Amino acid sequence: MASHGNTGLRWRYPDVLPAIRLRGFSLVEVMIGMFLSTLLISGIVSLIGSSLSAYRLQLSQGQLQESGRYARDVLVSHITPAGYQPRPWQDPAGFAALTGESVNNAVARGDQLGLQRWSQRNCYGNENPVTDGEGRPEFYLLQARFFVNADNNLAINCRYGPDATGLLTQINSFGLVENVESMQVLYAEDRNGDEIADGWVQAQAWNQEADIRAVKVALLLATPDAFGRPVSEHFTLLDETMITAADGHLREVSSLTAAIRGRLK
Amino acid sequence: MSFFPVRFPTDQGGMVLLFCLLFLTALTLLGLSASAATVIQNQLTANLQEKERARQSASAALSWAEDWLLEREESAPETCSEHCEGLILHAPGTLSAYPQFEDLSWWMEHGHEAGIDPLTGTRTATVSAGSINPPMWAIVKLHEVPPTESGAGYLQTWYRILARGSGRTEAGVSVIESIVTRSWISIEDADAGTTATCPASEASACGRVSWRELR
Repeated sequence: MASHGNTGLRWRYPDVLPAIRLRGFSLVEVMIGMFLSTLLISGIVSLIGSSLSAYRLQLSQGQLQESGRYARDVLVSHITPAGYQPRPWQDPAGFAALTGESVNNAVARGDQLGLQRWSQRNCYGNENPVTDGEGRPEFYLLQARFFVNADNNLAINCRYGPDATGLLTQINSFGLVENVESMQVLYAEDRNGDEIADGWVQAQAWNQEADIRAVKVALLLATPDAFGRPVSEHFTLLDETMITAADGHLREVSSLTAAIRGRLK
Repeated sequence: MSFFPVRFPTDQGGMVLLFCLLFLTALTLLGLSASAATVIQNQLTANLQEKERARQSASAALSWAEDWLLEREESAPETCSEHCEGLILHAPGTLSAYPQFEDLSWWMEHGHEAGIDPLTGTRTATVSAGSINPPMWAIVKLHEVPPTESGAGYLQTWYRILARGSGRTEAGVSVIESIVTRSWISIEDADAGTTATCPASEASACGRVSWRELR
């Protein structure tokens, strides 16, 4: 109420009431204001920058984990049913789950894993159009080979056919997961026939393929973008130690152990 | 005390309300989109969890059925698909071509509940208590080699065992299959009161020989 009264008085008697400072800011005030504003804005910008970096980092870590999860799912889906044989009495010697394509250090980026099974579905997951006498899809041989190709992709080769001599390549070096720098594979071997795995061996170093009970796979995954300081790191992938390039990329080891379920007694 | 001769026009007071409303609407939309993404993530996780629960249930049922079969000490059971007293043992080719897509009633009709001895009807174990539906299994006799052919004095038989498990909802169902082989003593030996666990001889095989996931 008082201010209202004074304001009204000032309009009526401009020469009587004390002069009011209506001028703008002085140069010093403006400079101080600009300095403080600059400080504030630079703080906000740096905060946003670090938030964005943290967001990109988290996003990349999430993508790394997602890539690892997908690679594990694909590999497990081929390892667990490996060696499936719908008519085992016709194959007294036993049907191999691992093919001769399982080789240690087969490619520059690590090991190669070769698996096979009889399947009513082809490499694309579609039912075999060839049917048996009862209208069921016929079992054909499916052979899959996993390796890291020259483009740093975890890749699959898949062949499908009525028998080992009639296989048709349906998937040829198809990249499943990007930015995989290495793949290492070990095999759990039951050396004394007690149905319990006694140790891990490299591909083809087993006594008998039929003694292999499980497969262990480790993948070294990297982010497509560089983060942080470019320093080289040591990673242990099963039986191999790797020194990475000093390129600032984030890396993570994703590993899995899957049993060949048909050989679990 | 204020001496400024400034008077804010009263007809612009609504702009504050408008800006506030716009700002709040934007915030609300932002919050809703964030919560929608979270809800989808939750649903994805729940689906994965359900699938895994169903898979574990089926796996437990399969293991129980395999153990039950391999622990039999009497002679080999005969096939029986309808009006069976005890074990429903299907002959090759008599079961549905796609058991993985059959509903629970089909499994009830053609199979057994895991944990219940099909011969006595008594429950011996509770398999996968967290599932909405009981874990089921069904069995098919695939092939047999009689003692005269094997020359080893025992009957070697291969069975296909199918197991169905479910999660806490109807959405999660898993069906897996294994092929199991075992040796049996002859009917004459069984009639004479002889019993034999698997393997009936050192030369015979017992256990799982193949495994795959159907659903």
